[in-house]
Amino acid sequence: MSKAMTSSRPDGPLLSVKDLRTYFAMNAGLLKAVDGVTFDLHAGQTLGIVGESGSGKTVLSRSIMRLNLGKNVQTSGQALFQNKDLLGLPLRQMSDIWGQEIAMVFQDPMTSLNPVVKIGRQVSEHVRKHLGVSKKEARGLAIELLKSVRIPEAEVAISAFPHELSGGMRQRVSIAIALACGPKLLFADEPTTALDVTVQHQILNLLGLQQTKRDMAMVLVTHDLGVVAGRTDETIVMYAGKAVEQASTNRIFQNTSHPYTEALLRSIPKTDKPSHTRLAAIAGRPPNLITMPSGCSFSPRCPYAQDRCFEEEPPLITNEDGHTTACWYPVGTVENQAAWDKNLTAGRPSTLAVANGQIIDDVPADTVVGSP
Amino acid sequence: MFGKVFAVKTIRLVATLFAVSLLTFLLVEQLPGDPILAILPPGGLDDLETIERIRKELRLDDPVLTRYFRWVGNALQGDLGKSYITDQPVADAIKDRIPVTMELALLATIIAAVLAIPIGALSAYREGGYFDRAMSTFTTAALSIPGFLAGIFFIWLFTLKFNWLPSTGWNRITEKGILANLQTAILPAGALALAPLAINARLIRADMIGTLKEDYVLSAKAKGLRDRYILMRHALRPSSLTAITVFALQLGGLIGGTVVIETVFALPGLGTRLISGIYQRDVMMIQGITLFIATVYVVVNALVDLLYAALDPRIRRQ
Repeated sequence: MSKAMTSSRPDGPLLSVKDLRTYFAMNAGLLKAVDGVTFDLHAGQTLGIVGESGSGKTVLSRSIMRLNLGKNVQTSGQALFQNKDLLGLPLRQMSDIWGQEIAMVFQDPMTSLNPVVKIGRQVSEHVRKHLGVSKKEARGLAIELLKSVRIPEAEVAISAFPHELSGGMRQRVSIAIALACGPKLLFADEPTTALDVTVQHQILNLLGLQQTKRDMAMVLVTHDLGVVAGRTDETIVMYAGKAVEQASTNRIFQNTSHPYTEALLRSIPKTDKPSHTRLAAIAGRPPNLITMPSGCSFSPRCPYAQDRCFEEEPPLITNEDGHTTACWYPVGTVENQAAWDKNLTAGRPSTLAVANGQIIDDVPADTVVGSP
Repeated sequence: MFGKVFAVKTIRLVATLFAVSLLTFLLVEQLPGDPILAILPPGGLDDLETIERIRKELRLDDPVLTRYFRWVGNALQGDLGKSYITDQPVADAIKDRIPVTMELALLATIIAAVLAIPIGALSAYREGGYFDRAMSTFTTAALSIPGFLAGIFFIWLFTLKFNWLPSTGWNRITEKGILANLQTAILPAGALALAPLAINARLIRADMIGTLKEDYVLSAKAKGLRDRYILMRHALRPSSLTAITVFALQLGGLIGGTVVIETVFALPGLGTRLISGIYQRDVMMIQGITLFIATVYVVVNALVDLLYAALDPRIRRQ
């Protein structure tokens, strides 16, 4: 599904996000949900945003869409969509962009569809508003859209209520809603997390198919690296509100550079291992986003962490391959190996945890790197 | 499945009506004083022969239960007996008076619903804003003022102060047309609507605040729908179930509430007839009207049960 990477189209990126920050003013202090994220997305391309719960990936996509409801939100930075800064637009103009230019598929189709409104109206009401089509045309369009997301008996389904459909079917309806006005950009926020594993693939394939067919750009937000593998052109790995690694999806998997990405890859269950193999969990918990540790935010959980990591925050550095990482001791470097050996000798718990996991897996420490 | 539910509901309805009729009958029975004394012409208290004759005529000597079942049996055939005082059939009196009461209750319902929905929705939309706070004050006031006092206030304001509307009397639609009719109906209906309006506005506000936090409201927003459309077409229906339930209870209460309001505005409704029946110890009239009001109340509640299903398709399937 992924098109060949064309990072330098003449017409510039469709979406260009620069140093986006979203803070929530809480009683306990400022919660930095998104803390300086920058990326470009070209027309027809796909971007994966990966991170665990609370890493800020959902807030990031909602910030770009200006859908962070609440009065305590402070957003700064830029989100240029077709050279218009979305963050500076009046909300009235946003409502012309919502659904028409940029659409969103939400995580849980059980709650994101209105239980008391018929499917047909939910699929076509915004088309009537945006494109001004008649009620009759909207009906035909709704049937067509439901067919395009492969809902059987679409003529019947338009008169159904959401509770009469299965979870997978409901997510197909959500996708039909998002595609209805032919948006240029689609945010898919954990579109398969609430679904059965068997349905997940169908939904992801459907999204990919429609994205290619319509030459639509897509941001795929997920906690599952396995979901972005082979489906997105570029991937951003987020941790504690920051992009810690950012590169083409292939490079992320083959030249993993950030220890957090490596840990995420390690935690994907492997089917070729005997059953009851312990899952390689990441030691510790994500940091409190209000009282962030100084230095690198991943340092308390990192098996390679050195003194410097606790004191100085590593800057995002882009190498000659366009691979961006924020780490003092990137995976695969000599410094990284030295840090690992030093921590192992010193008996650092999070290092031992990984080492023990590897003993169970019976894989030497250095060969695990970059093998998903 | 649906048939069974329907049967159960019908049986419950009949049982409730039976209990209501029995209670009404027994309560009126407990009223102090002999109804015959009220029927007697002035100075006829010593005329034992006449008293005895009337007692025989009205068959008041029969045991309580016999009289009860005779009354209910006749009521089932549409015969609620005759007034002891005027000899007018009770059913006729109800037929004669019900248009006024019904119109008041309906008008009050419409006023309450038409105002409660936007007030509740807008208060929830800007929770804690100026409008919300102003409306919170208004609903508190509307709830703490009894209907008859509001009625008196309306009369003072609209009749004495501005002289816009008549304070008492009733113009029938059939005789004077709808405009003249509304002139006499709007003040009592407004006074009657105040309490249900305040309660419903608050219920809709509370439910709506919850609904607006639902994912499907966010996804409707992400579709680019206007806020007003989302409020009215997406959030209102799921937010109105509590209000509808209470509304049904109020509707029965409204018919009872007209008793007081009709008296304040001197309207020829069921309520004033009931009151005069009580003053005159007109037992059949009291029983008949009370049973009628109770029946309307119970039937309205049963109908509201069906309305739920129309509002929330998830209930339809159960």
